[in-house]
Amino acid sequence: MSRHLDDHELASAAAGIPLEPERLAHLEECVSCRRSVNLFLDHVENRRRAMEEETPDWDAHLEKVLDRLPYSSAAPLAVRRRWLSPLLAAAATITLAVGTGMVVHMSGPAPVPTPRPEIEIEEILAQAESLLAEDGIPDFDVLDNITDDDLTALFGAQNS
Amino acid sequence: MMTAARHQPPLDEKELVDSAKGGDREAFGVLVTRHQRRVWLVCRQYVGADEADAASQEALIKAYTRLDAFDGRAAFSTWVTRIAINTCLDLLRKRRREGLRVVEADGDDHSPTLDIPDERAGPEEQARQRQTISRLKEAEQGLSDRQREVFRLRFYAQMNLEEIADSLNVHTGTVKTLLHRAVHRLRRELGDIR
Repeated sequence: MSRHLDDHELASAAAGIPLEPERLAHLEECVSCRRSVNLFLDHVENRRRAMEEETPDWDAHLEKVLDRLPYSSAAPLAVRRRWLSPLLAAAATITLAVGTGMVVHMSGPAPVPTPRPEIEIEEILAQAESLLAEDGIPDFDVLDNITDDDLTALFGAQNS
Repeated sequence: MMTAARHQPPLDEKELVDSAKGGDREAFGVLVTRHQRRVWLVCRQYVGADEADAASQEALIKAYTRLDAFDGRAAFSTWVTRIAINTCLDLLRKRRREGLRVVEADGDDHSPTLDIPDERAGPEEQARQRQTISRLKEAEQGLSDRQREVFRLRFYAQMNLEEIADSLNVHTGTVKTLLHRAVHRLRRELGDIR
């Protein structure tokens, strides 16, 4: 007969890890090696059997599970997911946008004010001109009535 | 008088899963009947006997609500075992966060019922069994968490090496190594070496 199984081989045999064919052959023939393996397995089996004593009444266990099941399985969850996903995506986008804005605001240079479009200035000038055209500026009415010829006559006479 | 034929759930696992996905509670009931023992025993190893009922029920309900995620690549038993393990780990994490006692973290609740020996044995044999169970429990405490986890799934939840590997998402070789070390150490502790 070949040599007995060593500690590691006995541990493997007890753990159910396959042995080399010749070592397995020895185990099958050797009462001493088998007894060593079985002694350990007996201890484990005693403990496992003790655990079996704690198992619940399986019918009652099944009933409790079935009682607590939602009324439809995967379907409502899938439906919930269908509308939940875009909502979550939108929330994430908003959070990201706000977050990014805050980070830029906190860490970057002060934001450059957006230049107001030129068209606005043009509009303001046009409005001012139209107002001026409608109403003369108070106390400048006299000037409004004087023509170039009047001025030439006035200042030309003084200069000469 | 003729009676209406009662709806019979299918027996094939895949058909049962498909029916349950469609909301057939009876089909899911058949799946629970087939797998609840395994699920309970797995939970027992993580959270102890006191909480194994609640944890296993929660795991099975989770499985029902997540059936649409089961694609059949793994066996249903492996998938539901994975859910059971994750449920227990969540429970243990929650307990830690809440600062509760984690005496059950290794699934050992030191309950006297654990020491129940085989009633068929005589008084002397019963005393011997009680002693070895106690020594084995003590020796298990000396294993690393992972070694103890694999050892218990193998021997107390009666899972094979591939099932353990799939459930823990590790290679079978890793399971073999952990299991070998665990058994080697326990045999030494128990003095079972020739």
